Amino acid sequence: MSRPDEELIIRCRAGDVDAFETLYREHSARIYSLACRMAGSPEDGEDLLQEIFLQAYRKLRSFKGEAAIGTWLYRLALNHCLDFVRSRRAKMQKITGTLDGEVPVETANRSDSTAIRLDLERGLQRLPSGYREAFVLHDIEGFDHKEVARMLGIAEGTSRSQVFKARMKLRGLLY
Amino acid sequence: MHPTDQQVNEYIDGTLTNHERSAVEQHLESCGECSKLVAELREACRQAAALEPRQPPERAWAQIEARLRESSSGGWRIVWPALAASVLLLLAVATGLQLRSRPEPAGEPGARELAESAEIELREAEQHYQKAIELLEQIASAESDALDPAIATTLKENLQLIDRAIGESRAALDAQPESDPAQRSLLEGFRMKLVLLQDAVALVNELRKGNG
Repeated sequence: MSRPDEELIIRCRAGDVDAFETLYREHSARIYSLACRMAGSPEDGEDLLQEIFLQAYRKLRSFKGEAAIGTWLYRLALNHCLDFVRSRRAKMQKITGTLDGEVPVETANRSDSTAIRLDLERGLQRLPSGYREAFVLHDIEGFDHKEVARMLGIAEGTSRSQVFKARMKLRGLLY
Repeated sequence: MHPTDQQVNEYIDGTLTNHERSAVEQHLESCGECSKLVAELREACRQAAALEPRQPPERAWAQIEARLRESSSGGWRIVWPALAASVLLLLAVATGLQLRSRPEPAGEPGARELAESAEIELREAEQHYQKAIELLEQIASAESDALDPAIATTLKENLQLIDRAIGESRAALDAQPESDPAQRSLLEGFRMKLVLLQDAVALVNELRKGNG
């Protein structure tokens, strides 16, 4: 761990909120992006961001310094986002009684040239929940299908299938 | 025959067998529709991999800060910065003394100057530490339910023991500035003081959580 990081963490553990703000400014963009994309909306992303950093503040004592503080924060954020996604999926399953909780989204077919062009971020928000999380973890965050499957509690083949379907839907939304 | 959506995606990801890839490439040479599909999917993947992080709105930090400041209460706000400052200064001093113990490379006087300033910082660190201990004692007596008196007493006694050891090491170092054992002993004293201060901060945080 670098000396500046070590000093920052000591100050944070001692209750120095200004030091924690420095940590927040350095890492919040990456974590906010992950949260928004996994949750599917900036509103939910913002709520998750706050929960993640409040949890990080409480858990800093357990940070042992084996990884960089940014890596530790990212893992905390990822686990928090996954908990959110699983919890929401469980609620949706109770309501809809379906296995994947898909919400149908209108998309263009292969040759439709009249679809409104969306940017990728807004396109992500329009993806069904299961497709979006697999796509975010694989194509944006760079995890392989085995890791995505483990994180989402699905089969590896399902991860591939969901990422492929997400790409097809995004392509329909973007072009 | 057009490749399936799965085959197209696996082609983009490079996970088809050689035979399957050749078949797809052969098809793409003569199919404008599939070539367009591959190009657009590749572009979507490229954009996804290149997405920049998004800055959160400023209100997000304001809300986090409000929650944090709300949960930190009373006189502990006074002692934390002082304790943290003590810990940081001790870190700086320990580093400076380690630099002094290394043989100086020729033409690099910087390490010695750094170590000499570390000695000045040593005095300042002790003053900060004493101030933090006095504050801790004041708060412990003012908020006696926040800190167990037996724990505070044990903490103070341990710190005094370490101070005595540091004092002896310092005296030895003053008498023989180049003495390796004296330098190591002084560094070890500071390390023990660091660990004890960090544990004290952690302990009181735990007590505050239990009370709050």
